[in-house]
Amino acid sequence: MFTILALTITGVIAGILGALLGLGGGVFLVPALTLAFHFPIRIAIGTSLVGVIATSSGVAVMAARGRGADVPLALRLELATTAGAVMGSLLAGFLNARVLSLLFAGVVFFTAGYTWYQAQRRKVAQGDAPEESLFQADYRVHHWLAGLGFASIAGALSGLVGVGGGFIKVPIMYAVMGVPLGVATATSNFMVGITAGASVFVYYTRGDIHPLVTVPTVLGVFIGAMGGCRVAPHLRVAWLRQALIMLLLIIGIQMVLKGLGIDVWG
Amino acid sequence: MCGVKKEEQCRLDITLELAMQKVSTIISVPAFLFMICGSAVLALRQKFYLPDSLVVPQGELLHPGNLLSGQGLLNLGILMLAASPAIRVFTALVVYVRIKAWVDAIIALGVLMVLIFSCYVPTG
Repeated sequence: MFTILALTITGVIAGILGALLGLGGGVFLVPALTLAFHFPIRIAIGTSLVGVIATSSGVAVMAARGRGADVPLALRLELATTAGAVMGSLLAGFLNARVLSLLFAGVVFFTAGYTWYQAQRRKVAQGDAPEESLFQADYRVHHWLAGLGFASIAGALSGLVGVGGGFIKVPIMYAVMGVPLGVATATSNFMVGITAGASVFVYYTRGDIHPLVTVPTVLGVFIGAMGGCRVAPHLRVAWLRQALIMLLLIIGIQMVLKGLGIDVWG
Repeated sequence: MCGVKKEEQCRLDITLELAMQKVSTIISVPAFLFMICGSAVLALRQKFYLPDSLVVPQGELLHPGNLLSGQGLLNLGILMLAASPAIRVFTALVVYVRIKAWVDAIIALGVLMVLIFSCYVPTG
């Protein structure tokens, strides 16, 4: 009973963070399930995939008008992401895992740096203008080619190292394509749901989705994601942006350590 | 409300948002209810243990014995939730076809095809 409760609480935390940062929550769930609960990695990934879909659904259910995903943008980018994922899975057989990790870390650090640089530039450009809005409706998406390129890189990385890629999609949509941060996170949540949906049935058929682990976790994730949606409009862009940059730095450092052969997770 | 966006585009955005919200609610709520009911049945039968696998093959999901045992309900809930992204993409496709936005419809169809094909690709 304690395990079930602990799984639900872990799910709630992952759901809140996933909904707020547009990541789906898998990046928190897999380490938690393997390190704290000692579940086999395949069960952790299978549970995490259903958890990502739960976050995506929770955000979609709770999104207020004008605060949902930009569906046309999500579908266009997702086409590039899935194409990239196929290329990534093909490339994975030829590249060294350490090289991949370092490559991945490079992209993550670049994304963090670029997000920070854009924020500084916006600050200077805005001057005394009102604070940047999370869910501003009158935005124009620009730099489509760069966005599609980065989306395919995010997809390739997904295929290469088995991550959802939300932590790349959000900064790219926000910093490069000019999408407001709130819309970028909602759109990323929509996208990571599709990405997770593409592999979840394979894990299910293989028996890697254990219902008694998955159900309490995803219930928590769904509740957490809906809570995150309630909180999101009251947050300041600066806080969310700082959280995103911090998370990118943590992931980047982890990947560098992995690339250098230092396994922090034991 | 939509600022620089054209009124037609703005209406489409709202239609899509509402459609996604409705579809997500229609799928997620029963999925979680199935999961809760399945957990309750298993708890009552004192079969709440780890780590034995309780996965039920898709073909046997709707078998009355499996449904009543709780395992079928748990698995049905998980599968319903797992199918929700594909159903949302399908909904977007229907909306695009209805308003004759063919380019968007083709893109949605492309994503849907990838999702369908991914079911048959083993990950090893």
